[in-house]
Amino acid sequence: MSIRSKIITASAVIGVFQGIVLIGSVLLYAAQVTDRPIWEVSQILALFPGFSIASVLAPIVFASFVISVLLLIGYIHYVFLSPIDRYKIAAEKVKGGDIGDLVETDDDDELSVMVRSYVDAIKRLKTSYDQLSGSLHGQYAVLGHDAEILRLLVDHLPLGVFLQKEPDFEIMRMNERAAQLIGKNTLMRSGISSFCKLDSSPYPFEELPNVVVQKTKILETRSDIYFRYPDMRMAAFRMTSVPVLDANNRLLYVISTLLDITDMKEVEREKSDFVSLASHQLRTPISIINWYVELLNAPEDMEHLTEDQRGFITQIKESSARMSKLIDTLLNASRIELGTFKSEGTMFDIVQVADIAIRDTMALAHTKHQTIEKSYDLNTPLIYGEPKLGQVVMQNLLSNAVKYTGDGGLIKVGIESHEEDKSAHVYVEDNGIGIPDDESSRIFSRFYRATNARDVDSSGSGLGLSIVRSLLEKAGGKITFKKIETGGTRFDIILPFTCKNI
Amino acid sequence: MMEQQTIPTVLIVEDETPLRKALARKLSASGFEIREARDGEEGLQLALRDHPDLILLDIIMPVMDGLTMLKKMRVDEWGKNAKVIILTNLSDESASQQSLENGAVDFLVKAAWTMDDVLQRVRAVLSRTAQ
Repeated sequence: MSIRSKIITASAVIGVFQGIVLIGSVLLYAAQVTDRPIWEVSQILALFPGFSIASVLAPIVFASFVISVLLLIGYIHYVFLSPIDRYKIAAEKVKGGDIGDLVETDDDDELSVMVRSYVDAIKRLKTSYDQLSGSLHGQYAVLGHDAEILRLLVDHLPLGVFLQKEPDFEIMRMNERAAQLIGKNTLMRSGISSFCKLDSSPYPFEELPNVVVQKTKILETRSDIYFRYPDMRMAAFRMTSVPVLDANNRLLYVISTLLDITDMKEVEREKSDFVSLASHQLRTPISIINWYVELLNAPEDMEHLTEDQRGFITQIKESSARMSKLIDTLLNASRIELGTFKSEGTMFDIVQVADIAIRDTMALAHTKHQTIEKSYDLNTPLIYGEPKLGQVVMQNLLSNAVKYTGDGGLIKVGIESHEEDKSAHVYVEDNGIGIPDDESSRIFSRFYRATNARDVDSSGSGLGLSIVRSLLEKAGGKITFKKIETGGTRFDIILPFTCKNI
Repeated sequence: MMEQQTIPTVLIVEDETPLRKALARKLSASGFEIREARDGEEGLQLALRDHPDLILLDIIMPVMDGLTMLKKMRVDEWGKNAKVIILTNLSDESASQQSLENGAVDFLVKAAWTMDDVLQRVRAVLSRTAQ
């Protein structure tokens, strides 16, 4: 029964009693006012003669009033309060998280319907929640599994990997291999590079690939770096770093890999050594060919040769010269591949070194009828450094001067001692083909050969000056050159009395 | 054995026979008395026995290499002042450095020098001695 019908029913019942109250009150009042017996006022009541209507009516009215009040209270409790209490208890239960046994009601009054709807809604919510919860657990399990696989993958990679995150690029993560290769402590301290170069000089922190990428965001930077383990073993790594950028080109992460290339470097070194050895060995048969050709060319023997035969001999000579040059190139290249020369500091005399270099080029200079003038300050102190440095520098400059100067040319070699900058100033000047202005900035670049040099000698390697410059700079010296107005070039070298970076 | 004053003696210490023979022939044709040795040991013996005016010395040789022979020779009274020109195909600078330290007058790379160049150098060194 709906609340509305309940209210109507109750109202009707109460109304009946209130009606009695009302009629009775009117009758009593009328009797009082008219001072006539009640039975006169109400003809209906004549049916009950002999009774004092007043004495019966008053209690009836009073009783009706009381009953209707009680009914009202009872009704309110029954229709409203009791159910509300029940639902309040249920609500408390739900609030407490217990939606297990909710109060059910079959009543179809508005309140019950409303409550039943809410209960249903809550039950549905609970079901959904349970489902969601279950499915989420499932997802976590899968994700967890994936994460586990990923972690396994990264940890077992035969490659060291580590990640740095902005803003301060501290190392957030490193895999097992990276930790093994270089130890957890090494990389973790920023600002310090525990790596070194092939010659054991420290590898500057700012030049490490991961730091370079941090500063420049260049895609993929790699470098070969070396690491000395506590037991003095040297290992070689290739470090490659890549940036991870967001949509606005902002640097988020730097990811780096470390590949152990110690074995590879060893193989490279062996190859280099092999090339060196083979090249040296090849010089013996070349020497033999040269000298026997020379014997054939001896004036007393030459008369017995035909024109053709003399031509043949020339061919042999030239071919031998080509072989010789090739071997020199191979030797140079294999030395360069090693990246460095042995670091041994000793005292050497730059004057003597210059003289030896001059003698070495004397053969060619002689053929070209060139003159080499020397101007030495014999008080130049001995140089402390790698003797190889002096030799390579002088040999290179002299051989270039002789090569790129024509017949009858003049080459000047000077050595001066300068106390004010504690170094020897050496110059090599020629009146040869010179260096074209537009190419002068590039002549120290590896493999670069000026166009006019190429015309004179197509087979040069282009490595000489780059080696000379890097050796000099490493030792704390310097090389410059200038064009001679009348033709030719002058190279000036500053060689410190005490070389650095031995 | 007495040194021959008029005809200078040159000792060639070289393990590569063709090279040694060619050089011997060239120098002999230019008026020198030649002695030949095939390794450092033989070279040392001959040097100390015959006291040549000049020694042309190869570095890489079997039995005893050039540098070892040079060092051993320097210990000898005569050997201290013997004139030595190193002839080699090594471009290893440490070898050249060491030989110069041990008193070699010069260091020539065979593949780069003609025998004429060697001859000139021999004459130059010997004429200096004569003065």
